[in-house]
Amino acid sequence: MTTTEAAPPRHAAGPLPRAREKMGRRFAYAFLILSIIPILVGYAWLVIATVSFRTQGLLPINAEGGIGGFTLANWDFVFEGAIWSAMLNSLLIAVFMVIGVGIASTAGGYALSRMKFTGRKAFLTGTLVLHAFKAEMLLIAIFFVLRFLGDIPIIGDYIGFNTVGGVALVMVALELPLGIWLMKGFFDNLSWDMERAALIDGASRFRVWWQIMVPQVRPGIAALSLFTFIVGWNAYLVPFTFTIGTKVANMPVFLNQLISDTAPVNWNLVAAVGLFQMIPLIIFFIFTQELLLNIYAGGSKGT
Amino acid sequence: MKHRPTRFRALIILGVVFALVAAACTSSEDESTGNGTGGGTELVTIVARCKANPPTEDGRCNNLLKGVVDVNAQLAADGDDRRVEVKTIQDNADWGDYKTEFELASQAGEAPDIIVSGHEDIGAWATSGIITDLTDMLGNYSEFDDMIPSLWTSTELNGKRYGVPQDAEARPLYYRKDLLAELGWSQAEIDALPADLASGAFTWEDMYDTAEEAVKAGVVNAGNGWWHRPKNGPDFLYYYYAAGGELLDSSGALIYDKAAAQTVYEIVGDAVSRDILVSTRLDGDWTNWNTGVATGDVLFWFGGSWQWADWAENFVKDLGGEDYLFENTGFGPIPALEAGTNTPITLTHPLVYMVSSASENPDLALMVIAKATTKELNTLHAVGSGHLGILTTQASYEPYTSAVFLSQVAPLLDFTTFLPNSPFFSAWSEGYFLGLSAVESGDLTPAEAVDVVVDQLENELGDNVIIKGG
Amino acid sequence: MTKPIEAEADALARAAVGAPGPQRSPLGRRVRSTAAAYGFMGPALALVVTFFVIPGILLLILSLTNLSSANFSRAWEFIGLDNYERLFTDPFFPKIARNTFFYVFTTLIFFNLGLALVLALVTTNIPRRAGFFFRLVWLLPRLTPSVVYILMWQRLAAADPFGIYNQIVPGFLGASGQNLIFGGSPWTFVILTNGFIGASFGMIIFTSALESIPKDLLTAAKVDGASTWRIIRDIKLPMIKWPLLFIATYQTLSLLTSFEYILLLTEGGPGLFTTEVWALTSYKRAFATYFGNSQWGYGATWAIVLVTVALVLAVVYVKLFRFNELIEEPRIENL
Repeated sequence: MTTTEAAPPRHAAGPLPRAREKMGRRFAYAFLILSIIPILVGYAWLVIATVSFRTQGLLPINAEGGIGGFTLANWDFVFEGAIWSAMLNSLLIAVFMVIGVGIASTAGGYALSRMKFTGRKAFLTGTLVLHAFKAEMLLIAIFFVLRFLGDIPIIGDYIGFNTVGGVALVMVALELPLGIWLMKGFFDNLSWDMERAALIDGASRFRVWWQIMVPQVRPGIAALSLFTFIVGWNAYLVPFTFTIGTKVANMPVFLNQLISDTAPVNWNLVAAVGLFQMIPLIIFFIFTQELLLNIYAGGSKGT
Repeated sequence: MKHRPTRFRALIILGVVFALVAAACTSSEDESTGNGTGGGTELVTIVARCKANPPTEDGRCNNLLKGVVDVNAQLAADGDDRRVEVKTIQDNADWGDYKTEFELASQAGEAPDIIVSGHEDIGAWATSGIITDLTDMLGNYSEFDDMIPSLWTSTELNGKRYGVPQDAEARPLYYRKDLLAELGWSQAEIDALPADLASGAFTWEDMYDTAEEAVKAGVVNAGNGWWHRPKNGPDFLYYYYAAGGELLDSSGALIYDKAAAQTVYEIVGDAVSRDILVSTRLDGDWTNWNTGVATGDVLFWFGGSWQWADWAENFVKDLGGEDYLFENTGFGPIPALEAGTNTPITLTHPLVYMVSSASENPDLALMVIAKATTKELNTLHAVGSGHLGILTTQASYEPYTSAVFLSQVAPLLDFTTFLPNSPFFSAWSEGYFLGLSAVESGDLTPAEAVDVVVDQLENELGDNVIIKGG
Repeated sequence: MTKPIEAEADALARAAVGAPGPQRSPLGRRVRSTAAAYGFMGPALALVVTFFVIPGILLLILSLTNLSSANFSRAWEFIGLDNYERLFTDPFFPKIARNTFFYVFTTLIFFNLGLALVLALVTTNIPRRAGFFFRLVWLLPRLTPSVVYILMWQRLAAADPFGIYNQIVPGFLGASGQNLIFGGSPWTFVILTNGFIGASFGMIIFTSALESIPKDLLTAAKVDGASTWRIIRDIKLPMIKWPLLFIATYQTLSLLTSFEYILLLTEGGPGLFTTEVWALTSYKRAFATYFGNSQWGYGATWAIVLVTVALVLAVVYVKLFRFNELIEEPRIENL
């Protein structure tokens, strides 16, 4: 199934390591290619559907029932202003979340990994269990919290129910259990050497964190940014329910407009919008993986 | 290595700049209209919250904006110092989220003055006290006298009226004329079918027999003789009504009539065992369902009047659109269950305008609604969105009558029933549907299903459900 | 545990950390360091307390009320443990609980953990570009809006003439023309749809962890003639032990409370709660408001019971994996 099983573990170094490595690699590719077939077929259909009037299996079908009937009408939405403002809004939310979750988790994860303080253990176990509360379940309870926050003088007007600030805080908070645990794990793996030396030299904890530690956990930040960006990009329930109307009409709201239960649904159009909605995420993935991971891997050639 | 952190930082800055631009672009774009206030008058803002599918259903909200001129004219004529402007907040999100948002906003004291939603929400919202009892105020506006009387039923709870119908639809039986012809029906027989359905001469059993014949003759594939919708929804309630089931007790509790429910489950099980209906019909897949019925794979099906425009636009446009549908597809009321004893039936699920009890000017809010409830404005909405008219005068109003499908399907409202306005209906519907889907998939026999559903409903609803016949 | 390479790594780590002896620090320093820690923790702590801890407590209180859309604007009405009684006497409670555990552990073992690990190991073991490509493909499901993603699966499994499987697989290989989900095996598809999303989460995190293993360690092992399998078993797996255990725990809890894809794919059907899971029941009966009336109080009860189960599972995991080591205090404090 994998390279790992292809190579017998008994002999540390076999007679023909080259040939064996080649074999292993072939197994690796065979496994990977087999594994992605359902995904590729699914997306092949998706792409075909977006340029067809109707499909049967993977084939576009025209009015006479034969193969054909291509149309670009499903893509007309890219010429509307609405989609672009929705895209900007999604970007706004996603970037905000990446920054917010990134900072809070990298700082919190560092403290949890490297410092001793009361409540540390309780906080770690607590967040892990609390993440089992889904946003849907917490919805009503968070609503009461937001109402309470809204009654705080002065700042209440910015972080209460029906404010963009309140929504932003909730969305960052909901991602923190993942962020904190993830970053703590990456900090745990770092050696104390540099940090210790810097602290002996009299550097502040903050400087050590920012200048020495954070650059070393970039792979972790890359992974966390990716997941946070996806969540922010596809955010729907919290921004929708906690504001009246759609203060922030983002991509998910745009897509939801098309699949309302009582409205006519053109699934080929939905497929097109869905595909369109994915493109920036793919770009973001390439960016985080290439930039952050590869910088980290640095000079040594990755194999 | 040096340039890399800089590049990273530059990207963050770029992101922030993007974000700021986006924020600037999306400052609130709510529409509003109003007349400039003259000296000494007070300008009142009425906020309306709508869910509508743009652009076809935009009239739901825009009619309120258009009516505002008449409101202010009337206020001036009455010597009232107040003037009105209307702000609308419209989108097309999930119903569930939309309703939750209104509930939360009401609790937080930030509710809009007017909300459009399904009439069944009156059950929970009037009980909770977040919408206004309009019973005594409706008489002040002559526009409401034109309402089709039966529609008011949908706005009532305990004898009080809490809303104004906004639009309606019908849920007909559709059939393929070309497939009937292929089965050997003469043109005259096919043309007479709607009348036979309306008179009760062509019953549910006749429909099954015809469908079975079509399957056996190979006119349609096995399982494609008759289809219902692919997931739970208001439709299945009229099966229960057709079987003689009653729903709302005078105490406010809901009734589960075991005999009626068992009849429904038997009907569905019967369809599967006779190969008229595939046992996997409740697969939730609207795409394949719509494609199947619109392009002629299925002989009979129960659908909705709003789907007609959808099929024409999204499923058979290249086959000829609405002309193709008229040529091949017919419709009539849901057949009577048994000849002689039952009448044909349909169900409508009107949307209604409701006034928040937090509104400071419920009279003005209702006046705004009244001025939007005219045959001119409502017809604009009905024709544009494929909904039925709600006013009696629309039947003879030319722009409405020239919409062929709508005016042909409108008489179905003579046979119409409604969902109950009860806060318990959601749980009732889940339980009732559970039995139906279990019979259809072959998990349970109809009698077993009834017992399972009774257990379920008693647990879910306790004293709020009355089990009849057991 | 006695492999030379690991022992070496362990010794290295210990040297780096310094002798773990008890260090006594003056009170002032301890206060200062605690203050610094809370400085770092500040934002996260404030948000977690405000939006998780307090709502969690509110939810517990709500579960003792009958709060719903129909009485939402009024004061909370406490009804004791009625909601809990109703939940535990639900005739389908045992079936749904069984379904949930089956779903959670099957998906977890085969996809979210198993496949994720295999994918991470394999894609970091082939040339970088190729590994990158396969990871991107595997990530696609997670990037796809859920509605569209499920639409794809429905198309794969649909009955003739719409289904892709029924079109490209010839009849003698088992294609019946039936809908594969509703007429075939609903569970297979519930687990596949969730697994194809779930695997990428672990894959990305394991990849990141594998990438942060010092390259010298791997090179040294290779020079020593260690086989791929030994490198994986003796260096890579121990080095990513932490993410492995974390993903196992985190994903168990995530799966336990997930329902979105099941809701879109089968709605818990076909028939009698065939693929219904706990979180979905909670959502459907208490939060889905197609016909109005959200039952917030009863919904809170489902959530509380579910999170209690999550808590028990978390404790089991901690014991089972000796997870405690991971949340133990750092071995040295600042100087």
